[in-house]
Amino acid sequence: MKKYIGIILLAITAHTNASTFFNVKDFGAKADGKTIDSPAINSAIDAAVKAGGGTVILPAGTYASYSIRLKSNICLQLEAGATLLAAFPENGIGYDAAEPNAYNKYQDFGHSHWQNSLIWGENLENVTICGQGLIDGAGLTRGESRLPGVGNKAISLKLCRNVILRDVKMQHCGHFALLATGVDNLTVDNLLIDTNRDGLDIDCCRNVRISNCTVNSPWDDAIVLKASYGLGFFRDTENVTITNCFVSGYDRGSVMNGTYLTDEPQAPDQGYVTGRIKCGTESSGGFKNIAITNCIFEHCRGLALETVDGGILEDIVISNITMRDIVNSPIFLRLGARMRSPENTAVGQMKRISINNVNVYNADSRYGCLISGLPGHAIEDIKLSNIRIVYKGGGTAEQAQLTPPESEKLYPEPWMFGIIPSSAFYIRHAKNIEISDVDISFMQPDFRPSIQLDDVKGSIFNHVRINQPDAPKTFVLINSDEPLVYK
Amino acid sequence: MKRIIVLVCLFSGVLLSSNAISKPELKTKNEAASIVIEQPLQFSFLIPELAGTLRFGFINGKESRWPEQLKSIQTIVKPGRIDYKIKDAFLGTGELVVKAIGLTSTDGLILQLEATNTPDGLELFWAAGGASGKQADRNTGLFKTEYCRDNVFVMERNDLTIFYGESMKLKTINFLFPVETESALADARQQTSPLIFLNSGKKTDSPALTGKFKLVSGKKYYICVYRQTKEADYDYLLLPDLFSMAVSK
Repeated sequence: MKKYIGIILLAITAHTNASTFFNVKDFGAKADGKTIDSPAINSAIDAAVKAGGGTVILPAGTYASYSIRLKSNICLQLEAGATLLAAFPENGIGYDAAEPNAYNKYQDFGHSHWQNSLIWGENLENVTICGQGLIDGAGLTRGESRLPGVGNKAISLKLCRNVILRDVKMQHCGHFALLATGVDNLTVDNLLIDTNRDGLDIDCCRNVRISNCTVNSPWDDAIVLKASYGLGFFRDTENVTITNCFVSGYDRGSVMNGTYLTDEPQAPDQGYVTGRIKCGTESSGGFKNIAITNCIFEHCRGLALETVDGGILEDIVISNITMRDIVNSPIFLRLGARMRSPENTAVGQMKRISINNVNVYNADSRYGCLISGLPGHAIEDIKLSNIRIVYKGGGTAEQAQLTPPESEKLYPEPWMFGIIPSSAFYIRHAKNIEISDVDISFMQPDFRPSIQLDDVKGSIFNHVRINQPDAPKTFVLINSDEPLVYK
Repeated sequence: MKRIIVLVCLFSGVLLSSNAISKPELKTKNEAASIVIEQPLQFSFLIPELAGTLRFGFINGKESRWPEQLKSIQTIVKPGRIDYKIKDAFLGTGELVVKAIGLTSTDGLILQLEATNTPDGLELFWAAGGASGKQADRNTGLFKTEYCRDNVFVMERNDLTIFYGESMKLKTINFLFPVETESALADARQQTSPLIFLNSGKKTDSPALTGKFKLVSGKKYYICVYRQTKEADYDYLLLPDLFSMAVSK
């Protein structure tokens, strides 16, 4: 008798102390790649919520799915061999509708709604998506259709806290692999993303760790910090680290399958493959206290820091970056006045940026490294040091005569001013610029002056070696202080 | 072969033989736009800049044909519309009827295709590309390789968007095919036959998008080419009604 009581007590204890896993197959998921399994997955999530939280498991198999609605205290785990497959909408049946947003005029459709996604959550805490499985956004669109049932994002989170995304692979994710808007204490670690528009969009978020990620996104930005007005109020993106990441613009799918192809050189916006790390373009709020380090760019656009909608971009440190085969400016800093923000928003600011230990090989020469503020609004306190750039070259004497327009309201991209009349650096409307220990060379002759300063006050060039025998002169100064040059 | 031009007025239509010289044009929403048909089943969209060309062919197993290689293409031109009736040994004892109508809801075209008594393995080949974004000379060929440069093809199952033009002046044109279509990036320099084009691969400076789908006898298929707007936002299931509306107008 005592033996049986002992066995029963042991069984009760084991049941009480066992980890709580919710296998979606126990809730009706078929994992046959055709049956829509999102109702089963959502049921498993709801059951976990009733139990106070837990891990919802997708074992190996292909789960065709529409919107999965995350909840607090849930871990969604895709096991090795599991694919969460975004299904195509059929006859108006598909993803949750794009919810109303009174502030949708300040940012694109993709940024203004969260629920029309494969996985979404709002006002949640303690959420994890992890595992060795794959999120395949095949049925998501990167386009502008508003038809009922259309989904356009893979993971979409709004006003959440304590979120972890770890280890999963993601491909073909529509507008965003991840749109995180107003998400605080966010960790994104070891994701492999190969996608057809943006990779990781971190929008109005605080305290974010992005690490060990590979993002191949030839058709848009790979890792991008934003500060839109999608929430309906201004919110900065701040306290962000991006480290140990690889961004690229190889042919779609060819990083995931290991072939690293370059047969598709053009992006939809006609600016060649994208795949970079960027701040902007949405910049109603600001960007503050951000470190980007130990990152590699390959076959893609260069680094871009943009504030054009009124946000203050300050206290940014970027270091230990190497870039190869860069299709536009290796470094692009833009303070503009697009002002896609509520009326009466003041023009933003850009200041206290350090960019150090950067190596660039085979960079497009049309725009050089471009730093451009606005008349009356200078970019300030910029330090560039220990930088080597090997440009393609090819600039002409005729191009040296060009006068780049201000283009204050124009969408910011290095192409926005046309071909730049200087080969290495073009700096306009800026003050306190210090450039040290820089080595520039060119693969082909370039007949433009090396550096143009236009409305630049207080510049120092310290050990700047530019190997450009065909340059007519090193400096062109327009309405600028004489730079201090230390050889 | 002696060219014979046969013109028979059938009510408001004009029947042309496959040897007729004229290049029909269809009008669409905007006055300045037109759809130029250089040869049967090849539609070029000048709206008003060259926004691309859609051409068709036929595949069965390891054989393929362009329309101009087929024996008989009867063409009936009506205002805003062109119908084809195609017969050839490649289509067995059957025929393919294609009806193409310019849209009025947006700049574009809708096609209905129906095969009757055609062989089991018959597939319709399609190729889209050549959106130069510039004015083009209608007399020198509209699906040239240089018009294909920098086109970017976004294919989402059966829904194609071609991005063309220049950065800061970007344009798009949309295509809808049957849901079951296959597609592949291809090389517009290799158009000797539909099969060669389909299998030519994507390593080229003149990309195009090609594809094919099975033509089942007795089933109606729809293809639409259009400029997407707030009002003109389509998927395949909307095309039968769109075609009916276009016919009634």
